[in-house]
Amino acid sequence: MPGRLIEVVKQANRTRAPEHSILLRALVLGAVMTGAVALLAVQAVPVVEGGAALVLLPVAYGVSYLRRRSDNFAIKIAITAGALLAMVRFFAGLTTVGTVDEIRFPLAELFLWVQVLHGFDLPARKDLAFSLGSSLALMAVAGTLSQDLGYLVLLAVYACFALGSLMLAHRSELAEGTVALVAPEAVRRRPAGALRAGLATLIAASVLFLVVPQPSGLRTFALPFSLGGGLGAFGGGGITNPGFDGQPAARAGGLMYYGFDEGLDLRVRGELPGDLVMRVRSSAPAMWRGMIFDRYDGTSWFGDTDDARPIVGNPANYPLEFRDLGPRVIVSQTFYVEVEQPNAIFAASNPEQIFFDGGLQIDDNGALRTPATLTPGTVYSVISAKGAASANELRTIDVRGNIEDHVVKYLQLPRALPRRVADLARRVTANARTDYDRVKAIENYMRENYRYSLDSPIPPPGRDAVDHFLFDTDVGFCEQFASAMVVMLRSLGIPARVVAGYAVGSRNPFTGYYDVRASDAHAWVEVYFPRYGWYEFDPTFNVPPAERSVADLIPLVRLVTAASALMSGLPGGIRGAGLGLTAAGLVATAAWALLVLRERRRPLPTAAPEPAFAGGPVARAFKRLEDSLRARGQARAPSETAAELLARAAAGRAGRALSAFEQERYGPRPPAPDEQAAAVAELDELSGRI
Amino acid sequence: MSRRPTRRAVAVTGIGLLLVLAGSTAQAGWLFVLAAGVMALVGASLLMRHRLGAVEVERFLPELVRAGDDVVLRLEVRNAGRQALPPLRLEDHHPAFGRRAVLIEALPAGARACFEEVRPAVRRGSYEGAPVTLVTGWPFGIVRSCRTIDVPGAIVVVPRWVELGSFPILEPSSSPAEALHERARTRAGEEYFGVREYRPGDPRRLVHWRSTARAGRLVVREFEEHVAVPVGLVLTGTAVKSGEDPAFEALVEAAASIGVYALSTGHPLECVRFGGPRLSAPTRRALLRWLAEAEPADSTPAGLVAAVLKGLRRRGTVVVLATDSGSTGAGLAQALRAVQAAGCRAIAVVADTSSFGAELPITPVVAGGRALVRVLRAGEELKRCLAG
Repeated sequence: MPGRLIEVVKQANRTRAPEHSILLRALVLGAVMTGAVALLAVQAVPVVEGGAALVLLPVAYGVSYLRRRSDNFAIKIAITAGALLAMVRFFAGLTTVGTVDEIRFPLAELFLWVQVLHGFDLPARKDLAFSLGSSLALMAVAGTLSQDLGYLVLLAVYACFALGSLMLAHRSELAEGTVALVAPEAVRRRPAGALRAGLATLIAASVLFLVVPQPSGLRTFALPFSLGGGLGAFGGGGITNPGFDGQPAARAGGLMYYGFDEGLDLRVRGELPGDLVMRVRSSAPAMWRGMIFDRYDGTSWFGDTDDARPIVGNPANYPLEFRDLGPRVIVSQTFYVEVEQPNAIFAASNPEQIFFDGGLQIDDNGALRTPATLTPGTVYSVISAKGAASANELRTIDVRGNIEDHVVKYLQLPRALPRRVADLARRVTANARTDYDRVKAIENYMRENYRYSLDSPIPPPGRDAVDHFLFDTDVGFCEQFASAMVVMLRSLGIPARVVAGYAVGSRNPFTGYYDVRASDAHAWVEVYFPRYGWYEFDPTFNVPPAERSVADLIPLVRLVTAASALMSGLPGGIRGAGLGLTAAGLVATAAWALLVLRERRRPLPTAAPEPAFAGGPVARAFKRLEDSLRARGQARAPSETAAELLARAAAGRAGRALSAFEQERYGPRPPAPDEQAAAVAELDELSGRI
Repeated sequence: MSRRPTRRAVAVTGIGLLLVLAGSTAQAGWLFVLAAGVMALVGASLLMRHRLGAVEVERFLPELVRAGDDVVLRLEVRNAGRQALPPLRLEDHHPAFGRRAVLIEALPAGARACFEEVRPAVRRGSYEGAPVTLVTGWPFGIVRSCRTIDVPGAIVVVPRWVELGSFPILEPSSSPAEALHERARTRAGEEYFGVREYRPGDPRRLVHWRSTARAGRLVVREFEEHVAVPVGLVLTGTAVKSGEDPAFEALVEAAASIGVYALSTGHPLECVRFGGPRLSAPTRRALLRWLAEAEPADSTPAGLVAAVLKGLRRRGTVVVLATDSGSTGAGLAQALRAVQAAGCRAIAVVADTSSFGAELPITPVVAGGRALVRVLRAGEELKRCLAG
């Protein structure tokens, strides 16, 4: 009975149509190896394992080519054993992962080893197709981990291998069961068809990439976090900024925004470089808030100077006293720190859960701190519930009539604040009917009446920085704009505060990450609406809306928007650029039309080619043997019979092949299928040996 | 011409959507790039036109061949369009040769590709042409175009026959040599007509050696027939309803062998079969063509026998070829009695259907009176079967 069962299994696994194309196998191998290299490049697999896989894969493909006609029952059993070992190793690897997100790494190793093992048994085209499909999984895993454009090179190489494999596989499919290959020998062959197909695929891929929406799914669990390499500078209960020495009234140097400190001095000036400081993978764009300032003394803003209290748990839950009700939109973010950052957690406003491994603290304003500065390689994730109330909903809130105790401190103003600041606020908001309208009126007033410049004059000693900005210079940057707006709002009795952090950054459409640079450091305004909580306003730029429209999810829309913004800066504006583009399009169309016309006028070849070689499978195998001999300079002489040729090439050991050949060529009936297969195998083996 | 996405298109689109889903969940932009690339395979396949309408196919065949003989079949494919054609599969469905397929490499505009093969004509019949199907799914097999063209390729595949040494058409036997003696004896002789080139089956004694020496090839004397005994061939049908019936094919081969033998021994022929015209005094070529077109039908042979007797004017020999099953088998004995009643010599050639693998009710053949019965069995040599 077991013997019969084994026989049934063997029959089920019998190789029916072996794939003979070496080129197809080489291209599939190329695709799989590119996938393995991609995993290595993003450090998804250890170097030793990746290197071993890269060495073993060609060996495996070579073995499966040589044994393509065999049933490989022993190899299949060995592969099964190997796959079980790989599974055991995968489950063992699961015990070492710190977060659910890290399962990707043992999973990538498992995928890679399955590929290597499967490589030993690829007799047929469908096996190669499976291998090619699996290589896509390797590329996808690498794609989820890749953070830069280096992946594009690997993707291009992979695309070449994969497209070539698919074309050859289809050709092999067309050739299945055919008796001959017919080629137009009289005409020079060109690979134009394959190139055209590749180009069409590239165009289609570009168009699809631009028009397919890129929604953000919810990720409320399995968010990554790690401390990265090295230990940062100890915070000592306050804020430590590794890129700023804390000297006020001087131009800021280094890589770090001076506002990431316990105070924000409005007399400091400086321009920050465009170096990448962190990458953020986020379900929606947002301002990454790090500091919250509540007190203003006329020249500087200060946050909570008391020792921050710890919050425990991983993920840590944001204390309830800082949470509010009202409509919310969940934004899940993961921060990948590239340059050492202050000991603060940057996140979209209203964080709810924080995935961080090094201990967390929170100050009285609700700003999150860490015990030490964030070193490069640190990864943390935050789930925020951004306020998403509409303007009409916020208009219904009477802010000034419902001041709660915990926000009273956000109405603080320096005693020496000139009265004209409050007068200006009242004048600007004279026509506003609700508190929300008052906030928007001041925000718009700032935008319309003040100029943005990083090189604004420094207020002289004894002058209020906001008053100096509002009435003397009319020039400033984000701190001046935000400070002036907060002071004016407070003068009206509306709780407001200055916050600092990073603007959203530029989204890389390929990686999907927001690349945040040092120059994205920013200060903006938060206004408190009873029951709804803190809402962001920015008199300098625009705050990204909490909810993205469907159009924003489409890269093409974003591209057009960005191009429009770019073109509006050109001489002639959008209209001029549009005319230029139209002219370029017309020229390109005319050139294309000329090429097509030229192609059509080319005289058609009329020479009839020689007929293709005809014959059955054995005769074709015999022809391959002849070709091999010719390549070795041992071409068949015109007078040489098949028997003589085989006697010469195989020293008389191909009797079965000769008999089948003669029967197929000259007999009334072709040889039996098993005789035919044996003869083909014998002849091909002989060709291979030659 | 049809053009439709294959199941692969659905699978590839599914993989693409899965990658979009994964990209959304993992917020990984590269997955959207991969998804676009995967779905672009479908997009590009839809964009690529296969232009099979521009393909012209010609088939070159000999006019007449014998079943089982090797035939040089030549197919020419031409791209009559102005754009290159992708690699395509050509499937030739000629019933005389069976289904064959070749792969044609990419054909530039105006280019031609030829395919030539020596193939045995496997099926008897008269054919005007046959469809050729062109298939391609270039470049990825995701969208498949298919076009079937009726390509002329007239060919008549006549049945195989064997050269009989003897067959009892005349009493007591009628080998070609003996037939001459018989004619001399019965004064049913012939007048010298002239000489002609030797044809297989001609008796050696008819060779005109002097003319042969002059011409350098075999030349035989030819006689004008006056009162040669006519032979009627009645080819009946088979009870097999569909497909090729080996028993009927054996009957056709037997009819061809007997007919060729009769003609070579100078007997005028009168031939009848179901669904075809009556053939009177045919040449060998005409007889073979007529047999090539013979189609099986299950019907009682009485009507056919009556027709042949009318043509023979109630003299000579009637050979009834039938299977032992169905209406044909059932009516055979009665047909033979009718032949004998008309004063003709009756010979039955019966195919033993059970030996050919058919599971049909068999009517035992009982030769009545002086009727002679020859039985054809699968695996047995036709010549021996007919010789009895």
